[in-house]
Amino acid sequence: MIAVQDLVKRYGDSLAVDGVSFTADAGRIFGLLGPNGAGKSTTIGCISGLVEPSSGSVSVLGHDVQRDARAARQTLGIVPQELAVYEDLSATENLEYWGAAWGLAGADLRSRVREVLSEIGLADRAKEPVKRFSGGMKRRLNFGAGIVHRPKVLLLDEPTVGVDPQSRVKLLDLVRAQAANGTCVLYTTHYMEEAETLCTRLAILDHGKMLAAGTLEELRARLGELDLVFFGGRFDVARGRAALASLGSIEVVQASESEFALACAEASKRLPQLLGALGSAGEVRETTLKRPSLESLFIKLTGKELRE
Amino acid sequence: MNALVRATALKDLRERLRDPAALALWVGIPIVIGVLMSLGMGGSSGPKPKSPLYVVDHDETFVSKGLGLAFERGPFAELFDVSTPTEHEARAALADDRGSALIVIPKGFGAALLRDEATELELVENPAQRILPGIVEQTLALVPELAFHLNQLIGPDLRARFESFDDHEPSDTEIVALSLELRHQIERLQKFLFPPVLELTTEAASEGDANTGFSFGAAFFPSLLFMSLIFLAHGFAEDIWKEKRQGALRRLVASPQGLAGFLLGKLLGALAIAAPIAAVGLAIGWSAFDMPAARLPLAWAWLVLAMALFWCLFALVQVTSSSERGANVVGNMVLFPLLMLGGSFFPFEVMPSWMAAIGRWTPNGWALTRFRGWLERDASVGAIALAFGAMVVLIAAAFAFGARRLERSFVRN
Repeated sequence: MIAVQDLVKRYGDSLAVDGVSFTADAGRIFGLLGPNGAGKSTTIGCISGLVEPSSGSVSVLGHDVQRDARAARQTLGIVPQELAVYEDLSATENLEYWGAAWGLAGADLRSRVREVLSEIGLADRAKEPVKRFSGGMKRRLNFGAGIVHRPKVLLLDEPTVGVDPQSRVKLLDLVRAQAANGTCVLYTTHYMEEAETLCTRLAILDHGKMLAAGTLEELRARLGELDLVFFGGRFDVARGRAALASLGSIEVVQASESEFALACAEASKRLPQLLGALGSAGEVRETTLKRPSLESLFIKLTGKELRE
Repeated sequence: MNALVRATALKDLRERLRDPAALALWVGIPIVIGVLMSLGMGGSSGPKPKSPLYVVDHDETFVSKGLGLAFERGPFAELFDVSTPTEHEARAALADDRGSALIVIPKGFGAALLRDEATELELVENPAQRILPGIVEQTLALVPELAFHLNQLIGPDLRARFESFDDHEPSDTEIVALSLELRHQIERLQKFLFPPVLELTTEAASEGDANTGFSFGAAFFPSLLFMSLIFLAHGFAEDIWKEKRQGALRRLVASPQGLAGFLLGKLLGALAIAAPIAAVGLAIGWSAFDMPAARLPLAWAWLVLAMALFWCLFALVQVTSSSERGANVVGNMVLFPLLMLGGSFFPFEVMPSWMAAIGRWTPNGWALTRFRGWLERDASVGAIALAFGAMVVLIAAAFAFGARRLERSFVRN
């Protein structure tokens, strides 16, 4: 449903998106995961027609978004990061506006608006001006405005930013419901746990490059069953590397005078051994152990934690 | 109509009507300015402000005093407040922009005038004023001509009489004698000067007729209407940046109907508010300032089109600015010079001619000039059609450029 091939977007000398390729299917949630500035929003912008790609191609339901823009856009729904709702209007009026923007009218528009209001849990507040809504309610309405015209492809650009936990759960349920109805959902986030629980396929982006892509299982397999262990303190990097090398089966992900990040199997059992090795190269003040996860894969791929 | 156009117009209309305070502010500011300026300039009735006129009389003869008194009589009395300070005080006052002009009457002026000899009057004008010093100058320019004709007609007889006043103030008896002398001379000349070809019948003017003179309120009212529309257009166009900031444009760009429809909807939404305001304004003009009823539909259509032009121009400012703050700054930089030059703050009549000439070619000045012209006198259908055609072309050009800019770069940056 969405096919992105060798997508490049250049702003002057800087590359915002650098050769990204992936496909997203109907009835599935495809996650674009990465820190701020990774190129997720630019990629979504290229798909929605907001951003013109420097090279590469993007098609939605077989329609090229550049050459056959109108047909491609007819199938698209977008939920931007910003709250694209009008505060002086009611929830009903907001949904009517966005439905009309995609060509809905008359009885079809009115019945669809009622349906969406019920889905997003705002039916009982439908006539109130949005400025009286809580942040979570506005987020749900923002989501509703993106689906009111029954899009076949839904682009969600970090829709849960700044949302309270309860509203986040509700929003994620709404996203799952869209996929269950056969919609192709492209979901960008920098929340690892969201991506892990929501997405069937994922691509990890950083600095515009796609570092890895696949199902959650495929990505975990790339990490193996390795745990990540962080040691904070003060170290002689060369002596630390040498001491760890002597232990065998330990991958140094990152090493600096203040921190060592290691990947190894069954790290909890090997902690005394690791502490001893790094203790001989300096002073260990803090230790953190992480089980295999998307975050640990991201750290393994980039050598750094996911930035907010 | 395109669904997006209709939906955007309706959405904007609802938003405006739910924020009546903002609407009242946009319409209210020009009304407050107009009322204050009208009051400051004397309004449509009541005493008119006078400007000081200084007369320094070094001659102090009956003739020189008569010249000073001339500016305290008749129509001059409504314009000038004549005083006789010292020359130094008068010059200082003019330098401080207090007063319109100073007339310096030299010693020997009266005698020279009666003997038909060369003499000089000095007129010092306030350079900051234009109209009132001009009136004084033109009036003084008549003095030599008047003196010449008086000398030709009754000079020898009156000269002896005036010269007798040089060494003392004339007594009541002498003034009565002079009056009788003048009357006698005028009656003698009447058959030559005033042949009885026309008979003048006079009657008391009605109170309504008495108020048909210059009314700043009436002259300023069209300017006020345009000022309201410009403020509205400026305020409404600022919404474009707000819509970008809140992500509405980011979502709309993915819609199949394009952003031109959105922009057109916003324009129609603005007109839906401005059109009734213009109608109410014209109704006020009709009842308070006798705007001709038959011409009001044309005036209304013109006001609505003018609003469309102003909105398109301010929308252009918005979509060509790289930030919301920049758009606000540039918008205000365009707004106030347009108001000042284009006849919205001050009628063209009170501007220096060079400024009025420039102002009449600003978009609002051009529209205001035609608006006032059509209300004040008949215009040919051709001239009206030409003006409407030009207006539509201007609106279309500004809109097309704005829509292109919105689609190509504004939303995407």
